[in-house]
Amino acid sequence: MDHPQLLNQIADAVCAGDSPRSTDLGSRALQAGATPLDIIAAGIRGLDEIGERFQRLEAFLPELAAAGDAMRALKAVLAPALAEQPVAQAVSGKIVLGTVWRDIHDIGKNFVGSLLAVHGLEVVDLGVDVPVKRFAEEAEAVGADIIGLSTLLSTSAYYQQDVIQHLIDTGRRHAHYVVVGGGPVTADWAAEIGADGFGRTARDAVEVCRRLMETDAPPPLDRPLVVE
Amino acid sequence: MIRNFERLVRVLDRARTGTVCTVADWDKQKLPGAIGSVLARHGLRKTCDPLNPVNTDTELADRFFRAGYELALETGILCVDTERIITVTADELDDALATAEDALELGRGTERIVLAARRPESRTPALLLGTLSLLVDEALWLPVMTAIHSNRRVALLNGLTSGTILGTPMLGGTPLETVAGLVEAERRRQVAWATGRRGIPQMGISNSTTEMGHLGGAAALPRGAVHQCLAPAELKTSYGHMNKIAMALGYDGRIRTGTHSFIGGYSGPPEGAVVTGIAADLLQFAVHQAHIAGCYIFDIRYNGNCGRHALWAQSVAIQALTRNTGLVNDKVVNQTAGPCTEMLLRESAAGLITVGVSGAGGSWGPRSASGRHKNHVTPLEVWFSADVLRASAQLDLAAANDIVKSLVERYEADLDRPPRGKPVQECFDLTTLAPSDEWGAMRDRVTAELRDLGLPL
Repeated sequence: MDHPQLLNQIADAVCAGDSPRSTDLGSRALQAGATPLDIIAAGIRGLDEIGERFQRLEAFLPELAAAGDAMRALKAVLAPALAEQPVAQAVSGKIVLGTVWRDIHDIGKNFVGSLLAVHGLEVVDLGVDVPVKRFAEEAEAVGADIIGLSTLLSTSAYYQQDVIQHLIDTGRRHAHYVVVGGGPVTADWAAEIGADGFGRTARDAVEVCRRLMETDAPPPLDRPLVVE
Repeated sequence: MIRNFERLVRVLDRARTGTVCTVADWDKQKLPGAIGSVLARHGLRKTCDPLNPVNTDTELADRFFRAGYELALETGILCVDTERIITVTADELDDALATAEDALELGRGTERIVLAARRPESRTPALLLGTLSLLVDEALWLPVMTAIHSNRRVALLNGLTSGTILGTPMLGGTPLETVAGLVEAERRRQVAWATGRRGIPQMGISNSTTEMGHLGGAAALPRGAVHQCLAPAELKTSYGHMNKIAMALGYDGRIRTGTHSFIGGYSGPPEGAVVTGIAADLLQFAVHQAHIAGCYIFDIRYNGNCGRHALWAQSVAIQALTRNTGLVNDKVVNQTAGPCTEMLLRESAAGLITVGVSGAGGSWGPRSASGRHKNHVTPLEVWFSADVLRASAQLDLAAANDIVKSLVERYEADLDRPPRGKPVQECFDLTTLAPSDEWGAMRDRVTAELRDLGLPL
């Protein structure tokens, strides 16, 4: 099979959330002469398709999550080849994501995480009810570009502020962009607490992260990048 | 009370000893698989009819009920703290449903109300049960709550929340939240006195995002008050949630518990959200000792439930429950637009007509501006909602569907980017209790529109 055919099958496998098939096809495509960038582009085509199906109510959060997992698996198998092509690294970024302290709501955070993965970002999901310091610790440990802070509760939104303050107090505010979102979170709140980004919806959050990964300005930004 | 504690203890035992299932496996495998299976078994896939947002096929609703009942027994509820599944037997579920009260007397004196099970097209109006836990400045909490509840069409004292307590940020899960619960209970008494409604039934605690606020405020609520115990997600529970239930049982409160089922989320399509919502409502009685079930539908794509798919799903789920059980329930409408917009009123009308004609016992809200923007709630939309809910008792399903179709057409293009509207200080006079000219004119226009469409307002 030539690699254009394999690339189409990779797109289908990622769209179907089939991780084993995605990695198998990825390896075979490399052997057949496809470049890592071509293979990633094929995976992204699959992710775009699942995103469109979601909007049409033909696919749902479990399918989005599976497609994100398949893309992550595909990128893992390409990692050695990607390392030889530094330019390829520009297509990705890494985000540490979680629902802040004393909030156990996860569906909004999971939705954002799945969409971010669908759009090619590497997502480290810390789960829910995440203590303030852990965001900073994990972001440093994995070398995250972005820290994403979700909450559905106005009483937990203050912990978004505390995460940012902790980064300032420990001298690490320059190391990560901080993006905030969730039910009671607004652009005004993002500006008030010194966040770098705010998206009203999950799709907006993806756009914010994409733009942050493209900006030349280091964190913290003078004002948050807002999409709503 | 002891019997209910025995039930709760049995549930807590199962939360510790039930089948192991991680949250990830539950979300990605167990729940979607069970939902897909039950929909297929009952031939319910692709039955959603978004062109007719109020379902008129009651036989379809009955089939969904049977599917939801089966799903409840198949899945049970996941405890997210222990990652164990709490299952119930058919006998236990049937017993819980059979022993649940079909009418609750709430409040006292002239403020006494009866929140009862209704059926589709019931001529007894559903009740507007106060507003939601929307965020306002602490200084506005008393005047806005007093204004809202000065109108007796608002049957129960409920909501709002403030972001601070005595001027300090109210951090969830800390003693500040406990203090907030206590202060809220005291301020509720002030509202009841200021409005001359000392016996008004109450539902609380609004400032209770974890069990801490409830710990503070629940004991200070009037005896027999409704204790609001919101579950973390559809078919999930937590120790925090069950702490609230234990407190409510101990304080002789009525338990209102539930959460939303997400279209597009782990429940999948609208049909999946319906069947999950029904299962969740039933399990609130067997697992969470509910007196009032409050599971409702939500569309994750725009964070609301006034679009076609969500309205259809909401109508089917309510019809299924109310045609096949005598369970007391309320159903929440989630608007996206803010005050001083006609869209908020149209969303409210569409949502409340749908839940009212489908048989919900009550509703609370609205969730003006999606509950996102501080101070974006006014008494006008609460009173308007009460009027619409009452009028919807004069409709049959087909007439309601015609009205709702017409309303949805006028706002659905804006659900993705709804207008934020204005904060209460800019469009409502809290002293004279009158809306601004602009906001009042909008209310008059939409009211006239609804009358023209056939709603007997």
